[in-house]
Amino acid sequence: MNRSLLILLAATAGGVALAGCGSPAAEYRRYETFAHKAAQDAGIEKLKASQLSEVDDLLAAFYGTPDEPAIPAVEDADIASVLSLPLLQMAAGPVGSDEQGRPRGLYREHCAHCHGITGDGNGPTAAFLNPYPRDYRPGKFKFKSTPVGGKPTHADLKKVLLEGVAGTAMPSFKLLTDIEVEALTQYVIYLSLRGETERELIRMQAELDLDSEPNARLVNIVTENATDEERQLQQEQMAAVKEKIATVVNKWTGAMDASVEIPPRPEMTPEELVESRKLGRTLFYGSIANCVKCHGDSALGDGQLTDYDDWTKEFIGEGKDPEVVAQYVALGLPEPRNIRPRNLRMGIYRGGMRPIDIYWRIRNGIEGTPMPAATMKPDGDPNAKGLTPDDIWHIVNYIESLPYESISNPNDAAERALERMRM
Amino acid sequence: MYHRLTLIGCAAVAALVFGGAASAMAQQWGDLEMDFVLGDAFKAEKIVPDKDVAFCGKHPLFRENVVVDPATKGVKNVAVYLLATPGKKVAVHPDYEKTAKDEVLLDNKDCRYEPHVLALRTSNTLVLGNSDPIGHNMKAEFFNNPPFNDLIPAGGKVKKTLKAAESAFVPVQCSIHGWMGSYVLIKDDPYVGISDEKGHLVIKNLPVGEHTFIVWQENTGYISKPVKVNGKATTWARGRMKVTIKPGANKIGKVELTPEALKLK
Repeated sequence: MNRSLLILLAATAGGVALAGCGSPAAEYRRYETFAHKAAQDAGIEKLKASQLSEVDDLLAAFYGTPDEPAIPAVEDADIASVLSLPLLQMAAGPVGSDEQGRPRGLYREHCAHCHGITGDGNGPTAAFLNPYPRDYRPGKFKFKSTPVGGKPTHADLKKVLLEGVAGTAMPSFKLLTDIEVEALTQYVIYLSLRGETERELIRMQAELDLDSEPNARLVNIVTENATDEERQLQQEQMAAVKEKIATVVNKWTGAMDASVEIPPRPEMTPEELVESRKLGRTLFYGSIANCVKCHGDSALGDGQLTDYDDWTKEFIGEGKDPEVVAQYVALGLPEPRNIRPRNLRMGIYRGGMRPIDIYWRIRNGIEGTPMPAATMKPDGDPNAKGLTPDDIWHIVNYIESLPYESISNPNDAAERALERMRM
Repeated sequence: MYHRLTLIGCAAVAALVFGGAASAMAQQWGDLEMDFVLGDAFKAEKIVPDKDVAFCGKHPLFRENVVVDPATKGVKNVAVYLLATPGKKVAVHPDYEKTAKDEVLLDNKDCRYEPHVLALRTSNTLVLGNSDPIGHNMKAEFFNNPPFNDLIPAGGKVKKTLKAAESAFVPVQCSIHGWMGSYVLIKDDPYVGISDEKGHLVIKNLPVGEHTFIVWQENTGYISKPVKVNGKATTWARGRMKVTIKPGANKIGKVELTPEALKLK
């Protein structure tokens, strides 16, 4: 046996040893910011360590671990319609492949460095990105065809993975296979469900009355010689936890086909399009659509610069108390940044550049942000204030023209656009 | 004549049925009354609008996190509400049926939301209105209801049905005009009192018996720091106050809030 072979053998043995016991298994990170907030809201200083570890234990029982995900077993929800275990397993765990050569650990390969193992938007690179990566745990997603408060449809979520988010660090994953994109989409839903469940369980803990019952738990531990009553109580407690999880899951199962229907974009001659843009411009500056208030007098996105998105605002409110901000940053909240209305002269639209994408943003608003949904004029009431679908198409047409409009001489923009179309 | 007879007949039957039910239950009712005052001097912070200055600048605007009447020292917008026990339905006085399906208006008026603190039942409809000539939006995040964020056009309105009860007040905010906001509570039962300008609060027709109430104020959340009730130091842990309601008036008396209890310092 020559010397180089010996070195190779030693190196291999070392490698095996490292893989076997060197790196600890990945763990989910606790939702410390929310635990603090829930305690504050409930008028108590903080949750006890035992309360938080009970939340950890319940989450592990229902959702498994980052290496071995589980689908929560709850009766009142059709969870199989949103999640499939083999696909979750493909996305979970360390990067590699199984005996058949199928990929494993897709989430850690493609997503975790920004979104974090937990899906808390707090991966190692997160602090360096602007905007920050999405934290899935509050269960809110911006770019979708459903109204505020509804979950994105499966297609909405998949589109974000396939197309990426223009103007941000989120790339397109079109080069992955269909099944891989599907696995990752489901894994995002899984992490989001887990996060929303964590919030619910933390809130349940915060509502327990520990003053009168210092050892109260969400679910009592039943010993072998427990009485029937104790067993009964424990079953009721477990049922209450499962009901909360079912509520979280049902928001997803119900939303899968809840896209807001959009009447087709009216066909227009170039002249009509110019007219439509003018109408859109009037609406943009008017008090019914009110776009100008935040997107600014020149649509540069400089009308409202002091607000925060919900992921931040939930904890720091208006952000006026530096002590509160510091407290939450210490608990893992990314350093707060103000949310910027889109600069509409850039021609970069995070939720997609198709006319229908822009329509959806105006019609439904953008969840988790200050962007509100348009108020639609109800049928049969000509005096009611609101927009018609045609009005929204006018605004879409105007917005699409903005990147080409000269700020210094906006009046000739319509004419020049017409010229371009005739060319 | 025939109709009148039928009517009388029906009325008689109805009187029998309802009268019978009422006497069988013999539910008695009592009112809860409290007065909130702030012991220390207080000056509201003036708001200088930075948006729609031409319109909003015309109206005197103050931060409404704590509202104290200079004359009586009464604290406005303190809320006291019956803590709902899960799975237990509370008896509701028949008088409340008249307003059960009412529309409850939360208006944009003179660059502030009116009212600033409001409560409604799951059977009511929340109407988001806008009496101002400028556009506003109203954004709310609930625990148990879907959130909303709607642009309310000048002179327009949007209706919301909120079907699930919430265990706490939820803020509604305007993203355009950052100072504008309100707090709304949604309950299955009607038992909420909100103190008026003079700090006076009343909850009418509670079923008699022992109840736990939550005492809440916007700036501090649950009032859990010591307060003085008729001069006697009292602490409501996590804002919970136990009261045994007797038939008729139940006057708790004067509740003196400290700056500490309102988190003013």
